[in-house]
Amino acid sequence: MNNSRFTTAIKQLQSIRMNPEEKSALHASILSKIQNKQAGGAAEPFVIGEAAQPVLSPWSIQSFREWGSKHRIASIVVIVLAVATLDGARAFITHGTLDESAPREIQALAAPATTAGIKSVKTIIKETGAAVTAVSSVPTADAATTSKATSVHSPSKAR
Amino acid sequence: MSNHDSLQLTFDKLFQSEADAIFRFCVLRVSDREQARDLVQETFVRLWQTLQKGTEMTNARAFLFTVAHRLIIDWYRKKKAVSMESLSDEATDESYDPADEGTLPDNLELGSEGRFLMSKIKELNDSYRQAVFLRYAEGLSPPEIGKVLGISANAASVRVNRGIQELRQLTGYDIMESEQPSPSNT
Repeated sequence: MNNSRFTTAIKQLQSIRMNPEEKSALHASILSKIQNKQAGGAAEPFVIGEAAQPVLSPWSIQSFREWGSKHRIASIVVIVLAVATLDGARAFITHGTLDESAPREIQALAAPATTAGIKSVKTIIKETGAAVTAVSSVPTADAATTSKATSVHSPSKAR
Repeated sequence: MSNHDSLQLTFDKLFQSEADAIFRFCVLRVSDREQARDLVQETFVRLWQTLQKGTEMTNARAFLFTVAHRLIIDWYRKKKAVSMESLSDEATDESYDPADEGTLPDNLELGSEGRFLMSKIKELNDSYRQAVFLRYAEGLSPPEIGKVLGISANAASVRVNRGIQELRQLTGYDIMESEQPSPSNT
């Protein structure tokens, strides 16, 4: 009986894991960090391009679409930022435009898709001088079923 | 297949099979989900660097737990140093004390029996705690546990056995000596 409780407890412990979106985002983040270290570990932006695609989880794409449909916006631009940190670089995802009118609620939508995912995009840019490295357009029209990631031709400073 | 492709394939397979176990090992010790993810990230970056050097790796699982274990200790040392610096400008004690490892995070999805067991594992003698967890929750063998903790296989085996005796008394569980823990490979 008590041994059965022990077995149950062990199985419960073994069930602790990351959720799929969290795991996928972490995998992408690790690859980005490795890529950055291989490039010399400098704060230079690294081009993610098509590699940005797996970072966009089905959950986040669906969220973007729902928000866009609700606000009658044809498409939302998803921007991947390379953020240099003390321990290397991480990829952050955000969306919308980077101007002052970018709605706060859509920034919040991106949070679960990021590894750190707490600070607002504008704060990250301000504090780190992050550069935009890839842009992905997520269509919100009903007919659209895919999103396409494209590299920014010339990585530019966001601010 | 190029060397890079082969490296990527090996890395991806290991990430898929071991990332959750390393995450579990970290989150149960640092009690912070975000911090645990950072530790998993650094662990796998080190794995990549080691694979890239062409270092022969006979046991990747033991390697990952070893790296994660050391990173956790480093994290506690740094945390303690920062915490003490905020109180005093004097020299800080950067030693790691296993007793610093806190309670379970409240927002961790874990059944009541699992939470009870983990709380009792945390009450174990410091030297038995990790050995018991790695043996029964992660299915590592005594030689593997020895590698992770930097002790001999015999010493690891002794710690597991003594830890289980102590755990029996703390929990009331009838843990059988012959019980073969199954790897958690998630």
